[in-house]
Amino acid sequence: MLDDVFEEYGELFTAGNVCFFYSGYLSQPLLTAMVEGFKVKLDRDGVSNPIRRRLLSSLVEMTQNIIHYAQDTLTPSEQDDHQLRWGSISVTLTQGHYLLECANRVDAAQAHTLRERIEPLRLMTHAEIKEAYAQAIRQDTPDGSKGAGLGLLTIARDAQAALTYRLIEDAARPGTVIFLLKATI
Amino acid sequence: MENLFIAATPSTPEVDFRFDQHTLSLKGESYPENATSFYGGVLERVRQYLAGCKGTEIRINVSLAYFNSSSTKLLFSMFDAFNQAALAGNEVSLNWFHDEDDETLFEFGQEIHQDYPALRFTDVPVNTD
Repeated sequence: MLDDVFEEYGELFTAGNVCFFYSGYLSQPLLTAMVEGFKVKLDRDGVSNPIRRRLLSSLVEMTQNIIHYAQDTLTPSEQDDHQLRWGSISVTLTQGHYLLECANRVDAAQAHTLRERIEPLRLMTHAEIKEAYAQAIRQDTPDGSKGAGLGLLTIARDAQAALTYRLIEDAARPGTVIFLLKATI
Repeated sequence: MENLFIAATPSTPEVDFRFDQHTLSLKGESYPENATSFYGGVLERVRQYLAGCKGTEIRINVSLAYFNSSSTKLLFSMFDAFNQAALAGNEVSLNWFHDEDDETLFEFGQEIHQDYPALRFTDVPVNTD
């Protein structure tokens, strides 16, 4: 299985262009470790502070979205903290841009909400996204949202281009959908 | 009332609220797993402190290199509380420290400045190279 992944990523892995590729149970301590490691890489690459902050921000938002909302969980949903949830997060450097991708399982209701939130973002100009963000931080937190509903807006604000995403129904587990999100910075 | 000090961790900021000196500082990065858990208690203490302030000169120093989406709203609530205290007759100044090249952090400071005009807001760009 892993050799398939290596084969597919082949050159990317050996050229050191995959900053990391993690698929498994994600948690806050793991996120912190990823952030600290990524900082070292960014410092070594001499990435400017603003881009550095955008990259770290998107990494955090994507990973915490998985920790907060992914359907595959080892920990009970009612638990406030120390969540362990399954998902994937990868950061690759290609042609001078960083590509951040994440994936996790969601239920049908979440898939619907995600589509409703992301589609408008894809059509907005950068100025419109910033405006939407400014409004969102002043609004009340939407029901069921642990992050003030701001996560996706934050990623969109920092990305270089419109977010791309996919929602793939899982025939093996009906009623659930695999959500994939890509951001370029 | 007792001062509040919470040591920084890689994902939560240092909270150094010296109530006795009326100087409150927040410094570091903020991306706790549960922002409400982290900031809830802090906000409570801030509100208690502010309730006892009358005509007081309060200095707030915020130097957050990064804060996640869920921290953002809670920070806004905190600035709102400070603004209320300013409207109630205290002299509240806010120093907003950020990397001089970071537009987003600068702009966020401006949002606070606009929304909370009773605060004496100072933008402080810092060379972090």
